[in-house]
Amino acid sequence: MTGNPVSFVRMSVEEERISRFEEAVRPQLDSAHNLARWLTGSDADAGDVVQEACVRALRYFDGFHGGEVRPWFMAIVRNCAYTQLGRRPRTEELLDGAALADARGGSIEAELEREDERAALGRALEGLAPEFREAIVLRELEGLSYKEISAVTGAPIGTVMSRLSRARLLLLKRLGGSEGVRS
Amino acid sequence: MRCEEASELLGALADGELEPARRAAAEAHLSACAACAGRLRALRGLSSAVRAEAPYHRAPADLRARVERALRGSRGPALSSWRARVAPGLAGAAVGFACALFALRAAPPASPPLDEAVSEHIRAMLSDRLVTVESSDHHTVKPWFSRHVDFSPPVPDLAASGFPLKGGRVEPYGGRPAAVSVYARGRHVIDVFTWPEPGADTSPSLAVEQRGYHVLSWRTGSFGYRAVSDLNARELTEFAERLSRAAASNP
Repeated sequence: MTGNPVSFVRMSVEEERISRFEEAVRPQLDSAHNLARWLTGSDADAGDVVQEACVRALRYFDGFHGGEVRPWFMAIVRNCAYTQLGRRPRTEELLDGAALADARGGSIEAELEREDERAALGRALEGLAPEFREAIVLRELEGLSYKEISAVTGAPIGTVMSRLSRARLLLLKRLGGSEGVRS
Repeated sequence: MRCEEASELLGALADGELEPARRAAAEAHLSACAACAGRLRALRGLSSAVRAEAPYHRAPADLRARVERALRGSRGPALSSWRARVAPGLAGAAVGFACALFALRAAPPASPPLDEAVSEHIRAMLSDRLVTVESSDHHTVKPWFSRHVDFSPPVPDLAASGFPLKGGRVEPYGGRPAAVSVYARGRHVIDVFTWPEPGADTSPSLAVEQRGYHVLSWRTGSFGYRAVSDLNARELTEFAERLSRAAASNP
């Protein structure tokens, strides 16, 4: 083979580093996309967010020594998602859940009769303010512990606990399943 | 404990996130207060509904390719400058070579290493993340798998045989995601790794005994299985045979 063998070695080293990163992050891509999609509300944005998060995470990867890849990477995805949201014209995400429900013509309870439970649940979750929505997504869909959610969101565990409580009460209320639950 | 205080703890109680003292106090209140017990049921119902019904947005196939490209285009300036100096032919060859290496390593082996099953099992037991979806109902666990891996593994109900289902999780195993159904026998936990593996059916056989754990390996209906547990080999074999029969008759 002709050319510069040193360059060849350096390229292999870089490729090796990327490969190590990919092996660490590949199992997290579904979770990353799910979180990004729930936070941004758009497929196109979610894809951009995951791509950006991977590029950024690779940059920090050398500084990442051991520990859990999942919360580390999810925190980067979350940051990128909020950055992406900040770039958008500020309209809908400023509405909190209640305002959104009002904007859509009030109670989702009535929709329950027209739509199946699945759609209503998705809508109710979409209608939550981002800090409540991400708490539910990280806990119920990603199965993270409170400690991990705290690591991803940067909020203390007590805050994680109260956000989850509040989020669940809002969901129950919107799904019309509020019997026995005070809000 | 009063209802106000208890209702703030119900979510954490349902999530298994209360420390023992507060948990005991909350449980004592629940046994005496039907209203709070009802709230806890409502919260649990909501959790199962969200887990089972809320859309899960998996990464589309093209995103993986896009990320791969973006990572290789994102090298720092130091690298870009040397890269520009390298003869394009050589660079192409090197990238091709490296990608081939990567592809080779990423290709899932036909049968993942056995000791990996034991280490994953031990890691999950220690990490308090044994199940991501917690349910004794295979009608909840099976659809959860369908949303988290690109195959739908059999998750038979073996409670009647004394092996109740605990839930499931997804683990990287042998370079690809495996569905892990979690069963119990008394206080022993049984992890069942399942992944698509074409080939003729084989009977469960003891594949390895390591660090006090047994691993059984078999193939049923184009799925590879590994059952890992600290349960004794005889009962674990009984479990694997029942699971294999149930999976074959009702995939």
